Amino acid sequence: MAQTDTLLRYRPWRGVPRGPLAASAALARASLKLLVRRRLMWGLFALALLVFFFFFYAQYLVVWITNQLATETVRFAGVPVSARNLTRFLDRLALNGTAHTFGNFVWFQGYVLVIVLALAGSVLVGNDFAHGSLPFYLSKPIGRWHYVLGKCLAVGALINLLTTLPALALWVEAGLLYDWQTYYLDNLHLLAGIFGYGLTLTVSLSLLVIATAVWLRRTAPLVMVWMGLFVLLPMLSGWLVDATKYEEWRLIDLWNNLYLCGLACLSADHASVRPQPQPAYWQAWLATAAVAVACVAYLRRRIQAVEVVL
Amino acid sequence: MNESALQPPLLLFEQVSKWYGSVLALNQVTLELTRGITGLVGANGAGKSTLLRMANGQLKPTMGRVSVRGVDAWDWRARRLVGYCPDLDAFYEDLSGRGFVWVMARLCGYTRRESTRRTEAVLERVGMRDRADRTLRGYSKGMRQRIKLAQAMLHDPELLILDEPLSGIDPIGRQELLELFQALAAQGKCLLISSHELEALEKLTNHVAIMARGRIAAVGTLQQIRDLLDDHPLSVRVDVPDPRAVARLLLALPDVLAVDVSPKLPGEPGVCVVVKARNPKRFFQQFGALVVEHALDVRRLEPLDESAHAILGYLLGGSGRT
Amino acid sequence: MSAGASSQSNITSRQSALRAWCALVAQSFQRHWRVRAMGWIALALLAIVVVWVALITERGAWNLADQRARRGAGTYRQEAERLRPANRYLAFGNVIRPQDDAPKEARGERLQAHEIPNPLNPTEDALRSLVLAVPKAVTDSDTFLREWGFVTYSRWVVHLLFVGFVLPLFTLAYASAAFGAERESRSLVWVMTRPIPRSAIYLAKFLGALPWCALFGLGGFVALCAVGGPHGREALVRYWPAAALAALAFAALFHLLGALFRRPVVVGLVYVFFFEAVVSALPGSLKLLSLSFYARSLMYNEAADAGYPVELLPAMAAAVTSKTAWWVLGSATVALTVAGAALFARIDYRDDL
Repeated sequence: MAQTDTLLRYRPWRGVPRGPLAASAALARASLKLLVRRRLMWGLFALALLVFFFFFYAQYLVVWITNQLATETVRFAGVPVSARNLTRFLDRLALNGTAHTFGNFVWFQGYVLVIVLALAGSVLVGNDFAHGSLPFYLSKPIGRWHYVLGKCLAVGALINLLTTLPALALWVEAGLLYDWQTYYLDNLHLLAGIFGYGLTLTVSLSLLVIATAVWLRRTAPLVMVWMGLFVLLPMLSGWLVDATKYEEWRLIDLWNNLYLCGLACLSADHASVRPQPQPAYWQAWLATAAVAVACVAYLRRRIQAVEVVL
Repeated sequence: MNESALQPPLLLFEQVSKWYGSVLALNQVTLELTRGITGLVGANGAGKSTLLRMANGQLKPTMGRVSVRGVDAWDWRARRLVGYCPDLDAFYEDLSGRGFVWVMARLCGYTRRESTRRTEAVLERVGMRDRADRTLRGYSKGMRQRIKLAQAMLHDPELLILDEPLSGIDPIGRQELLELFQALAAQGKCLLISSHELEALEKLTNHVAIMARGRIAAVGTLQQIRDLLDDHPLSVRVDVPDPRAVARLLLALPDVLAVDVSPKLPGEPGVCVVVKARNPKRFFQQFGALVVEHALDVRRLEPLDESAHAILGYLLGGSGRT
Repeated sequence: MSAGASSQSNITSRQSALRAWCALVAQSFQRHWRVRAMGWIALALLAIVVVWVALITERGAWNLADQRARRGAGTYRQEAERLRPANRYLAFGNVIRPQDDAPKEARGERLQAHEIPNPLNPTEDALRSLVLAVPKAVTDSDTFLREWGFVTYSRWVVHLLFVGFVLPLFTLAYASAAFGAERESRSLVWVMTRPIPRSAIYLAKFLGALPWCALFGLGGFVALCAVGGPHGREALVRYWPAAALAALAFAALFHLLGALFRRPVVVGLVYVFFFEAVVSALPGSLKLLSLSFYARSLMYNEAADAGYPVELLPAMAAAVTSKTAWWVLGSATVALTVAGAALFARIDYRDDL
């Protein structure tokens, strides 16, 4: 009996709690698992991979054609075409391991990213409100900002998974396609730029996702607002710039602002940014920061509400 | 009475199985209800809610058939005979309690006037008439339960399926609801009420079905089940450090039919004895005495027959789980 | 509340499935009204789009003659005027004998190589003058300007903005929410426990969402056309049947998505902004799978029949005939709805498990 008794005795946990920041990390992990369980999420990841592989192989193709077929002509639909011309259509994507390669990649990845983030917002935050799991989190010894931080970390991980990580892969690939010793050493600033771009995206977009999700909660209105922000405003800004000749109108296009910030991180020449004309880098930084600050201010207002209204 | 004897049974499950992917939620369930209150007890995850949803036509059986008065439960006509109070706690939160019940009445196919009349009648019955004008968002758990109950009774169905109707209700409210259920049964309604507490149902009915791991482990009155169990030989696994000595002691007990020392059981090859006993209730009394008398170091005691285990759990006052 | 079989028959006779179905249609309609947030956002987006189109129209974007020909150049009308033989000779004369007090334009700084008159070779000069006089003829032709304006309006506002953004987004939001919102809030069970056939529930939910799709989809179209000036009003008259049919087809599709997926809006979004946007822009026959292609075909044919220069819509060169487009959109609506109703009658929902 004595033996059984020692086995069944209650043994208190002897560790030391690691503080609320560890709780935020745990919250982020749990949130990511919640997303990964959804089949729809994997479908969207597959789409994102498609964009990545396009860049990955196109970058390879460009180098290969330049090396192998530089002087040859190929008969294309019966017309002799210089092999170099075949890849000319890829020139706009600047697939040569320069700042614009990574800038363009993230730009195109944005189409998937926006949808992924709309879904993530409604799953990670909207559901907590709608299904009453928020009190469950807030009953733990963490503050509300830790909850926001945890969710931001999860969204940030998602953003980096779709943008920074594949961009790094493209950087590594570019080094291997050219002379790797010189490429890596000469382009360390690009590596730093990719991280800077990733960081900018992470901070601004994760705050935006959390703020809009806290505001709207349901998927359908959330998606409408995101489409308004990322489809309608870019259309609008493009036209406004054309019509008024004021390039500052482009600042209402958040994705373009982030693109400019990214290119600034990648230290790309401002004159080479397409489409022209573009607002100055500092203006883009200011606009992005303003969005982030607005999101924080909104979250702060919501968080300071006395009770959690479900 | 003769007329109803000729009718097909009110609710009939015939060899019903339900798979959720690779999980077997219901396993060859056969059940027939005609009248009165039937309690459905079982642990969480035993398959109670699945069974109730099938009775209401919310889920389709993977195999077998569920019928209400001979009509397939999946058919919409069957739902005219069935009132269902689900266990989930989601409403159109922006409506008032009265508004919600009224909309539900309209969706049953009543005219506006009839809907209003029925809404007031059921709200009165569940004791919500004077507090039904607030929005559902602000309701307490008990008030929400009552509203759910009210909408189930709207069309005066023959069969009422209530999934955990007593959860979250205070003792006074619980007593009121129990009286309401009894009144409904006295009117000739058939009620199928699920709960994981046998205690609550015991006050209401003597007729229970016990579910365990997707099976109906037993059905009948509590006395019938107890008697059934008495005649049902039971295998019990006992983990002890010295199985041979314990086996000898066990064989001396009058209700023990056979003892197997250290058999090869699935899982860990522990040191154990498997006892086959005739009358479980008497066996456990005798075994308890034996343990105390010889100060046996029993590390584990587990009936190997799952459904009997669950029934025992309930009848002996546990939760049906180890 | 008396017991027994007599009250049972009494109850059944008073319950009407048709009445229940009508009540469900009304209830589905009201559910959308109750989700105010979505209505406001839809209105806000629509307002932005409408204000935008109004501003463009106000600035004369549909009038070719008043548009800048290229960066640093004047409007097309000014350019055409500048290329008239008399003006070219005048400018040429100023190049030879510059006069300081002459206006900058007249000093011939902007004469390009092919614009310089060549009086020593009259044949070539005549031919060149003929060619360079075309812009003037064009900008003076009211018919051409009107047609160009209409086709440009059709291309940017109707084909791109309306069919590519406004219509799919609003029908997606409302049609997929018919089931999507109920599944997200787990309240679908209340409808499913009512004595209404499942396929009828599907249909009722569709009909309940349709007015909203029409309000924001077609209403959006009307608003876009109303602020588009004369071109907008003509587009409204010519294109409304196509817009209505497209709204119907989109609504049927997104309603089906709502019944099939737990997050229909996201799936629908992938469809709209990947499939529709990419596929309908690709060459080849893959675009035959895109609903908006048929809607655009209908509009294209309508414009072509009215004698407009539809060559200005290069993306629509492979448009199918109106008859085919009507047939495809109509039958897609019916087929999607029938398939949805049949599927809905078979699927069991376990959203709360």
